[in-house]
Amino acid sequence: MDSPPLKKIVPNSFLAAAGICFLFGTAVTVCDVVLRAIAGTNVPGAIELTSLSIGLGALLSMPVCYAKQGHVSAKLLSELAPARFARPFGLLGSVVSLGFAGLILWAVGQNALGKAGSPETTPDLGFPIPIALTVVTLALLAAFLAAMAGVWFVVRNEKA
Amino acid sequence: MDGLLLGGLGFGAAIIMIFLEIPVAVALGLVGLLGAAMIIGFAGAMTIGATTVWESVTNYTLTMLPLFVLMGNLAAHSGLSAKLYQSMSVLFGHRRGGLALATIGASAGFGMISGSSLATTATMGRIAMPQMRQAGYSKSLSAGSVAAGGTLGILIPPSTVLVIYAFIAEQSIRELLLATTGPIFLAILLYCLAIWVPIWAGWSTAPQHARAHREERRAALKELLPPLAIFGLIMGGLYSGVFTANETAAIGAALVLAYGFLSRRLSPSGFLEAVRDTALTCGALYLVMIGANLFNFFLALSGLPFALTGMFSGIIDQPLLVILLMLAIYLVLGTLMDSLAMLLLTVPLFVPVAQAAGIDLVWFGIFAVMVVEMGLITPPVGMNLFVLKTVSPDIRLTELWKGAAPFVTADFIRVAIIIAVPAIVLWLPLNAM
Repeated sequence: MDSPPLKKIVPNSFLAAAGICFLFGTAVTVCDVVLRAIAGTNVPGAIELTSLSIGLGALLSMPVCYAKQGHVSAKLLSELAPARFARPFGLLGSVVSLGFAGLILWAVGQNALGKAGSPETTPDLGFPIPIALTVVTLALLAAFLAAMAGVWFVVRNEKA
Repeated sequence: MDGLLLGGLGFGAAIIMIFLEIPVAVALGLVGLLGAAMIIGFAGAMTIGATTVWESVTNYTLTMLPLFVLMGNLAAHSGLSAKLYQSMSVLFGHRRGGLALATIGASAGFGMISGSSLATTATMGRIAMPQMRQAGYSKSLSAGSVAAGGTLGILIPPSTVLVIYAFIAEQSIRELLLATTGPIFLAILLYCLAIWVPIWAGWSTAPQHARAHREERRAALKELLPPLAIFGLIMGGLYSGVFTANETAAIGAALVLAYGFLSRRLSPSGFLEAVRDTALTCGALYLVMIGANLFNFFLALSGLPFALTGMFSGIIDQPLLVILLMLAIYLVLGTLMDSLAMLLLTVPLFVPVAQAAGIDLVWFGIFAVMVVEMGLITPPVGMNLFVLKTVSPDIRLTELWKGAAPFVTADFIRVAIIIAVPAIVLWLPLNAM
């Protein structure tokens, strides 16, 4: 039996991890509401826990968005004349996206390096900011690599 | 280079990039970063870039987006959306124009889930158009109801576009969601008239069919109850102040999940698909928010919003003129881009102008969302009409325009009514608990 190719396993793993983060965020908020209604108390740090878990989920889903060209875009000309416009616009979009992913990675990476060793923590949960920034940088590095893969797929006219 | 000129050039560059189908997030983000670098230097722009990414991914208000998207996807994979069209067809199909009404309702439901008029038009065009055509409905009426139905969903809670407006314009999402109630009822009423008036006048045909059997109707009603109950529960919680908007989104997702599993309509694979689709959509949406924030920051640095407010100074004491001018701009932009792209581009510029003209920003949000959607079905070049043309190539453009005309008229009347009576929008947010 053929094993699933890497280009299926990697995006599915990212999406699964992102999905778990979203479900965790949902569960925390629902538990908070239920606890408030029943016991008049709250889940400690519920707002921050929800924000961080859902934010992490969003970051983990970005690489797949770059690789599969799943961005929000105004497809007018390629809807009207797919044969003429879909490929050149797809290529242009993927190359420019790679540039953007690189710039964002540069910006966040530099900031993370600057904050290395800082004692700063998040206000409610006390989570160390340098670790959080490292996680964000790693996710954006994955997004940059995925954007490179995205260009590769478009050049080869392959589906991600 | 002069900041103002740079702002203008950046705005133009963003429009051209979006027209060239460069992703909206990338176009806005690149223009924002590079434009800011030209004003405050590369190092400063990179610091802003890092801060924007961090603030976007840790923002509590934005957590609503994945939760609403998850709720919509769970509903779709539980078959709630498909059942909506089937049930409405059974209940209203025997009435004159009943299938068109069902299409409007189902398109609104699908639009609510997908958050995109274009996706709704493409999908419903494939589902509802053949059914209406088979039932003897004229091409223009079938096309018009599909194109218009898609625009309605964007306004119905949970509206991701409104969440994004709330984030950019720093407005209360709860107030915005409450404010949609009046315009939605108005839209339903006016769209019914947009279907019935051309039929009565003989401009379009919609043959009546035999009424469904009582058991069938009862079953259809039964199918409609769970989605209505879930919608009523979460919106009731929001209206009464029991839940915050974020909690509404989470409770909604949990209720749809519970319904899906308990009714055995949501299979484990459907659940996984829904979560996967949510992750795919949310990655794109968060990137859009990062891009929009960078673009916003650049525009503020360039001073363009303030200059625009200055340009409007001659008419700033006449809010009606300001609104009409914005309406014209949105209709023109509707020929080039999707509603989300239009809002992201214009909100940073228009909000300061609206504020200076004394226009309530909750009202303005509803107005802007309604008007960007109008642009998508306004002949001769509304984008929804072109999408429909690609889905059903045998329909001539003139038929599409003819079909869209009554709905565009209905939209103009709706906008005129909310301009004349702003309380239709503002009464509920001002008076809800």
